[in-house]
Amino acid sequence: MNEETKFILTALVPPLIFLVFVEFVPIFYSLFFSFTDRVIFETTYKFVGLENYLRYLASSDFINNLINSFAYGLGAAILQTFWGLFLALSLYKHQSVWATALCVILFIPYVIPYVAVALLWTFLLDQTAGPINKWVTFLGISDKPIPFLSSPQLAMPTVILVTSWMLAPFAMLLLYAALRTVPRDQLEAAMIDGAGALETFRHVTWPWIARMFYITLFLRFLFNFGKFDLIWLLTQGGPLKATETFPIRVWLMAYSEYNYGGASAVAVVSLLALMIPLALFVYATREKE
Amino acid sequence: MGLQDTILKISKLVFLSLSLLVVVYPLLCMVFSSFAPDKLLFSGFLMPFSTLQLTFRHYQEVLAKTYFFQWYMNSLIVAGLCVAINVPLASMIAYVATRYSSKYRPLKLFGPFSLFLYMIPGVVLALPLSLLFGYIGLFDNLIGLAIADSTFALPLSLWILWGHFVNIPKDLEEAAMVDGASSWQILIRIILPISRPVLTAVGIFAFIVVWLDYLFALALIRTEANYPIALGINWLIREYSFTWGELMAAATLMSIPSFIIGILAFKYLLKGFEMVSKGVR
Repeated sequence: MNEETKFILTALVPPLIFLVFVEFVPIFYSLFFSFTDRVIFETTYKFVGLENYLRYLASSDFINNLINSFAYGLGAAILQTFWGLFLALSLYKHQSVWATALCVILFIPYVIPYVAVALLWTFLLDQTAGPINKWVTFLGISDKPIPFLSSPQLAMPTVILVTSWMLAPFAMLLLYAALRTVPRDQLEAAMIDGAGALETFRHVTWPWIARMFYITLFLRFLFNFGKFDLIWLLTQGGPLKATETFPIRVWLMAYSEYNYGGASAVAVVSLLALMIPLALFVYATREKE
Repeated sequence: MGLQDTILKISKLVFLSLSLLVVVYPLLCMVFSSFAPDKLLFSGFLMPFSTLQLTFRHYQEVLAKTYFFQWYMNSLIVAGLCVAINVPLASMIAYVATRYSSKYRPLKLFGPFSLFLYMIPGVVLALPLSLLFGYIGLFDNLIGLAIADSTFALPLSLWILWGHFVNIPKDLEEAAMVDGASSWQILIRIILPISRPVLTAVGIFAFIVVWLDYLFALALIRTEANYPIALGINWLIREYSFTWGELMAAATLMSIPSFIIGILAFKYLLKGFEMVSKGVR
């Protein structure tokens, strides 16, 4: 074995063992128990074949979870990425201290813990004490406080908005970074040629950042699709399952119904539901040789 | 051209001001109501700092009723462990995968692979990990929590480092190789030192992941003494009746490290993602 092979083996194998243990063993574990009737606090179980899957896919929960997960994932991804893009575009040309300071301030929501974000927004949107509902009645938008988190129609849009408030700064960071790699001389050349801001964007800036834009959009979708924390902390999937996504269903089945087998089946289904967009994305962005 | 640009400039200003309002107003509400007397919160509270009646009572209550410092320490320990796991692991995998991808074709799958890892929803891992960790004594254990949290941090760290390593010119390594340095020496003596800003970004990112996390703590920690701060505060809300002032004091206390990280980390994270966007193009 030559030196190089030895290096590759010693540097790659231990981390990969770790990855297999924390990422792949759990997935296979879920896959295995999805075919059993395991209850969470008991160790005995028997195989039930596809029963968990069939029961879940036939229930109204499946369609509801599927729609909610895609609505949440896509809604939050689109809102975050476009907001992030506009913020990045408004700021990147200014090299001043003020622009940087503004960027840092706008970045702060992203590093606040989920629990604090959920607390803060539950307070802001509260129907008796919440400042936002005070504004709503003060400005006459509605004469009664609006039940943002407890109305089945408003809960999902509200959760999407709160998630985007917290995570848009991350999209801003990625796109701001991408914009900083646009060569200055090309921007200046466009300006000397008398191109307007929109034309410069279309012909110079956009081609440089397009790939990063799509990647950001897609990463935000993947991330939000499987996100548990904010929905759980804000609504616990309610009211009337209006915000119940796949992760929430998995959690409820495991810890409220103690149905570990069923929860594992839902987890596997949610993973499969993500494989299709992932495969499409990898195909669309593959390296052309 | 002139008119169009003026309209753009004005809409840019309006957009930035609105964004700033949307971001800053909630934060000011949080900080202000943590200092405001209770009766003020229920009367016509619209603007932060609309009065100068300030009280520290909410903070005293939160600190007296909870194991706040213990939980804070737990979070810091887990964050430290997660950084210690994440940075070396991510650099080794990302370095080998980028350096040898032209020679060993399967390493080209590294990109899709890290995306796949990023895609796995947290609950899909948290549930089995809580059982698996039970068998090996990592359940209800801060080390176990750090290991679980690193599954969130690793995919993006791999991605950042990949973007960085792709951009390091090969000549550097070839020159060292001619001088007779081994691959490990090249990695440790040459590659890692010039990667310090990006490694800092990766480390900060791992810290942020732990500081934000709620799900893994909820699934993996049982004993009150082992709670990280997020779980502790969330548990309190369910156990005791707290006033909004006290809850906002807790939220503010949890967010102080966030403000500090946000200010310090922005520069490094920006640097890291600049590398990535050079890499993906």
